[in-house]
Amino acid sequence: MGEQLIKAADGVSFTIEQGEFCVMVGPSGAGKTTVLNMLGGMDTCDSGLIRLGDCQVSQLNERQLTDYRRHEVGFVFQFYNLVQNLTALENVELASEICRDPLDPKEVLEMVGLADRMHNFPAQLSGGEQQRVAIARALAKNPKILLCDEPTGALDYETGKNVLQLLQDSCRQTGKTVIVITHNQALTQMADRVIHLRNGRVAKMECNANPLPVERIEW
Amino acid sequence: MSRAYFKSILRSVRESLARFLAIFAIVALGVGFLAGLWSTTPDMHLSLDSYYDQQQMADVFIKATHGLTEDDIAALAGLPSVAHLLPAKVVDTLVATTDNRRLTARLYGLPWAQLSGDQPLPVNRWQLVAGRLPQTPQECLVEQGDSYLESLELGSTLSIVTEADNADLFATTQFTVVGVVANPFYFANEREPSNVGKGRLEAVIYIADSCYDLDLYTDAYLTNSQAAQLMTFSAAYEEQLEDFVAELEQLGEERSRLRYAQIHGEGQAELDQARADLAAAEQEAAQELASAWQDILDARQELSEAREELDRGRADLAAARTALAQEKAQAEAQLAQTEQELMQARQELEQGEQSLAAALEAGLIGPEQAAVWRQELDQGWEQYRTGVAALEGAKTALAQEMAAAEARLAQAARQLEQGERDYDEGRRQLASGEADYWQARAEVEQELEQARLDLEDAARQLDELEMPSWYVLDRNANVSYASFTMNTEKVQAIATVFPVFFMLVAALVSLASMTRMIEEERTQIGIMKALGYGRWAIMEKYMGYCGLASLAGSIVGLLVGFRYIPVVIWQVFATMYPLPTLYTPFRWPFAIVATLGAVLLTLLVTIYACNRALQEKPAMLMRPRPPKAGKRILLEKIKPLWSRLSFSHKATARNLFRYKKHFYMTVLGVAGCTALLVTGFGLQDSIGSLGHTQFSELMHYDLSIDCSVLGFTAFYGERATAHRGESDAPVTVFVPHTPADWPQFITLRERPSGDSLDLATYPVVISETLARALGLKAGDQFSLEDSEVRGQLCLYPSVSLSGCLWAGG
Repeated sequence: MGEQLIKAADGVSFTIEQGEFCVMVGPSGAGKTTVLNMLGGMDTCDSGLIRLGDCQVSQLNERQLTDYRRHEVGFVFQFYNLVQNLTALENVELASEICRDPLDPKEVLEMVGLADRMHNFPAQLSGGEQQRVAIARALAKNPKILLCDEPTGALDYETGKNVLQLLQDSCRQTGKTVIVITHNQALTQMADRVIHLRNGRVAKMECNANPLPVERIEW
Repeated sequence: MSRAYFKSILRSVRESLARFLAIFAIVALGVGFLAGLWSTTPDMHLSLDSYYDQQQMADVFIKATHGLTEDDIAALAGLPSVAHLLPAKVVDTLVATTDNRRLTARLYGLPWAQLSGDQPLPVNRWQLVAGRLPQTPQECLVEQGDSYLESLELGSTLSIVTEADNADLFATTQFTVVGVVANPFYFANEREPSNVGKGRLEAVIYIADSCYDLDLYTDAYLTNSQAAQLMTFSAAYEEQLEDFVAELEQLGEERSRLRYAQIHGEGQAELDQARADLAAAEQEAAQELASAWQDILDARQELSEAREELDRGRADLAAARTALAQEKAQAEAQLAQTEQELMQARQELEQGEQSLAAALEAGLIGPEQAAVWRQELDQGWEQYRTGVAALEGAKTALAQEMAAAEARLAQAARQLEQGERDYDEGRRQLASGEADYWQARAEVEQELEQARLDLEDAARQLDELEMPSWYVLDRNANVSYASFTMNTEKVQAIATVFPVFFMLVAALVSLASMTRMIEEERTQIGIMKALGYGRWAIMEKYMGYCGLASLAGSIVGLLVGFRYIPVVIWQVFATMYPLPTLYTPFRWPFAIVATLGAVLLTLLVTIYACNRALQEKPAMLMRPRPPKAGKRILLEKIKPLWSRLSFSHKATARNLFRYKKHFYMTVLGVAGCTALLVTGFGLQDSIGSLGHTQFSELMHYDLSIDCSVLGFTAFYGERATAHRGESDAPVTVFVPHTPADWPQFITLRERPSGDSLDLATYPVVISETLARALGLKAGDQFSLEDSEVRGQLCLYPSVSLSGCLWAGG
């Protein structure tokens, strides 16, 4: 079907410091998800360089990418993407069991406030709870970097706030690098760093000296 | 594999139970059929083997051309390799039933102890199906009936139809059926050939061997000491039997030489005796003939003497007649003279009277004188009267004498007549005696000549006495066994082809199921990938899923297949082979191979199905699968047609080419099914029409008669060997008496053109089979061996149907 070459991301160059809470913002089709996927080793780039610490992500082969995804990255998806036939705890375990240095799944679930719901199947959980399970799943892997693709996109205002709070807390408390994709400009206020994408390019990158806590953001 | 992951697999199974069951079921079906069909033949073999073992089925049976003597049997029994031995007198003959039907029967004469059940049968143990065992030699057992053998009723009477060639074979010819048995030798419902009657057996009858008036056994049934523990169909058994048969054949040769010597010796002795008898008879006959001839000669002598005597008698009679007549004439002359004299004396006396009377008158004489005269006269008268009286007396005497003589002569004549008659009678008797003699002589000579010829014949036969031989036959010569073997081989053939289809179907179903499953779980695979699960780890799930399904399916398939498929097939054969038990053991090698095959196949299929999804980037997997791009198709270029199509038709037309895989699968599937259908119908059609073509279009005759009357046969037929180069082939040769008439009976056609061939145009026509066997083309030459047809046969451009060779003229 490739009659016409479509460049999803081109000329995207940015750097994020370790431990930063970064928000990537842009309209639909700006290439946010593509960039995030490439960062997380879920997709590959045809040219260019992606580096995570010492790791040249863009140079990794299939097998190394698998390891990279396994050990370095935690993903949170817009539609949670839990395994439907596993309970909340098992979903977390599914991720933690293959990692080098995982957190205890139960503790992580308690941390995200799901101590009571950990034996429920995704279908028995609300959207926010599911997204929290997804975050717990990502956190339990104890990754260096947490990549979140529209984590609040499918959630209502309040729940979305809770989820964002959770992400911000985990960034602040565990010192993980968190990158959140959103099309919601309001969220830029809570970020240490904001990257604006437009038409597959970085339009603007700005650093927030004083990011706001989530509860103070309104949209 | 992580714990949570394993759980997810188990839950997948539960959630998509229908899919799991589909794979499970199709694998169960495939493996079940595979294992079941594979094991059917071994199971059938095993069952027959155990039946044979139970019934002590003979491994080998021997048929001797000149019978088996007690010594032969003893020699056989003496072999260490012979475990059990049953000698029997077996003859095929016609028997008449109570309702006067004639059946072609095989009569087994068996030792009484075994027949009556006092001792168990050493081999071919039968089972009594109905009735009881015989208690007197007038009772018999019969083999249970099937499609070929008659079901004879208990209590019915069978009598042997005696003919010239078996008249002195049986001591008892009438039997009452008291029991019905099932002999392993005849377990199959199959046609048993026979050389009498209709050519197939209609009854097998077991009688006491004492009912035979025969010192020899015709058959011997043997078991090998090592063979019982071997499977009857196994290579080991075959090998064992090969050795055994070779050993028996060697013994057979030795025994046959002895038998030859014995028969030849007996024959020679008989011949010598017969020669001596003939010589004695010849001598006796010569003597008797000589004495008879002597008698005839004597009789001739007597007759000729009698003739002479008769002639003499005739002459004597004639002489006597003449003498008598003379005598009579003489005597009559004498009498006449005496009468004359008397007449004269009377005249003289009358003159003397007159003279006296005159003298007295004249007185010339005195009285005295007269007295003297008177006295003289009286004296004269006296004399005269005496003379007359004497004459009369003489006359009477003569008459008497003559009459007596006449009577005597008449008597003699009569005697002579009688003699004459006796003589004639004698002659007649002699003539008939001579005729008798010649006739008797001819007869005797003819008889002697016949005896001489017979003797020569016997001598020639003795010279031509064939070396006796033993036919040592293994189970393959047993019709039941051969039929069973053939059918199990058929099953085997099916077993090699059929399951492949099932496995193929299983693979396809697995492929479809797994492809769909992976399609459905695309996102989940993406999640797994995103979480950092490797290819194999992800594949493990699907392999585990499919593997579990196919393993479980295999196990169930094996359990069911091993147990029931052979049973089902067995039931099909049950009408043909009413054997007691089918053994269906669990066969580990088959089980392992079938399971491994099924599991590996489904796993491979799974890997194939997974591979495409796994090659995609996780990011792609996370997104819903992009639909296939629509394409323009060729049909659109035909504007008038395309513009007339409705939208749904346009969509359908495009989809045909959009989803090429579906399209090809559909085309292939339909093509395959159609091919199968057409093949099936085609087979049915060609097999169905085969009979019609053969017997309506090609063979027009209803009956062929083997007849030794020369000139009656329409063709000369023989079996021979066609030879060309290195190749040989057995052929039947037909040489029609009048080739022009041949097409009335059999049409010869060229294949595949179907053109009729005329023997007048093509003097030698051979069958396609023969042509292929010898690599012959039209115009090639080949020769016939063991044939009365001489010379090289040159082939004309013609090839025809059926396994024969026709030669014109």
